[in-house]
Amino acid sequence: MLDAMAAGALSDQALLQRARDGNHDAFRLLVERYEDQVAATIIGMLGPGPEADDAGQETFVRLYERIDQFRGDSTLRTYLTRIAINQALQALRKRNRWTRRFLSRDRDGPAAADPAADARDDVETAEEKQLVHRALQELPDHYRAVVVLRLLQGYSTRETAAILDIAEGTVMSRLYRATNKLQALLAPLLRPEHTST
Amino acid sequence: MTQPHRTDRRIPNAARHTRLLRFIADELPPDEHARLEARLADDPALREEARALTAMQAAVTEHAEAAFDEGFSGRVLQRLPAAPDAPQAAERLYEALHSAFLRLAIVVVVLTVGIGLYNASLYPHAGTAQSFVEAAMGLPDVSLESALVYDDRPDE
Repeated sequence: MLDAMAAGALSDQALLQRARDGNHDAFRLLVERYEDQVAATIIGMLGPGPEADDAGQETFVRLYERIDQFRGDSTLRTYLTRIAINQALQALRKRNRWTRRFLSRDRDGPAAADPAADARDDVETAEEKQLVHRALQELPDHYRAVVVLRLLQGYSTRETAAILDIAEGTVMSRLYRATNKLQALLAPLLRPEHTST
Repeated sequence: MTQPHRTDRRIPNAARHTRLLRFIADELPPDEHARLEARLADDPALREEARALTAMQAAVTEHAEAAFDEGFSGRVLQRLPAAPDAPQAAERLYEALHSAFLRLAIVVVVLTVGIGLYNASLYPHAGTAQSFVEAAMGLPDVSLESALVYDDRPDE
């Protein structure tokens, strides 16, 4: 059993080594250290709910299965983000297949609400959260991935390109289109009188 | 009197927008950063564009959810394969078998050499072996003729 104080001071590499040796406590500490990071990526991509929780769990299970392959060429944070974004994109593909199969063609599914129209009525904090969440869900999956990594997680353009395995120019063009759309969807939150308060 | 800059319409909208995004993320080279900073000071429209982008980024960051439900790490650990213990058990079994077979092999080698030496020591004086090698291996004189012809007459 790892002492909590000592474990907190252990580096990622030290915890990974212990986890490789079959120490589940060390792996638990890694999960606790990075779960918010993974949550921000996956919930940003999928929205909150059981689907996101499942993709988050799958992200760490994948890390565990490939723990011997992680050589530290990138940071563990980046490595996990790469797994998380792939899990989220996979879940979205599954969701889209399901939606196409079971929902009628003239409906856009659960994300069909007009965030801007909703926001005109109410801009309380909880609703603002809803507004941002729904605005993110309005973006095409690959644009959303760029927004989540570049704006939400604070990765640089180069890091975002590396994680998504696309060119930096592609990151910027997707970001341009995504931010244009987000600015329209989040207009009620972005007025100077709103942002200054 | 100096006129304030108007937003440079020669720069396409997308290029200006992405340059602002890089400016906000502090990704522009220092000289380009300084030039854009100076232009922002003079150009209210460009300044408003930058403010809207910063506000949009802040809104996304501030309102995004970043936590799973309570007990997430426990749920992850429940899903881990029982693999870490299995290789250890298999490894222990492999080592035990390896050690047992090695000991058995040593005993067999010692016995074989011992018996061989014993047979060889008898070769010049007794037995039916026709050579040292046959004697060492404990072999009688075996030939096609002796195998086919059974001679039950007692030695004289």
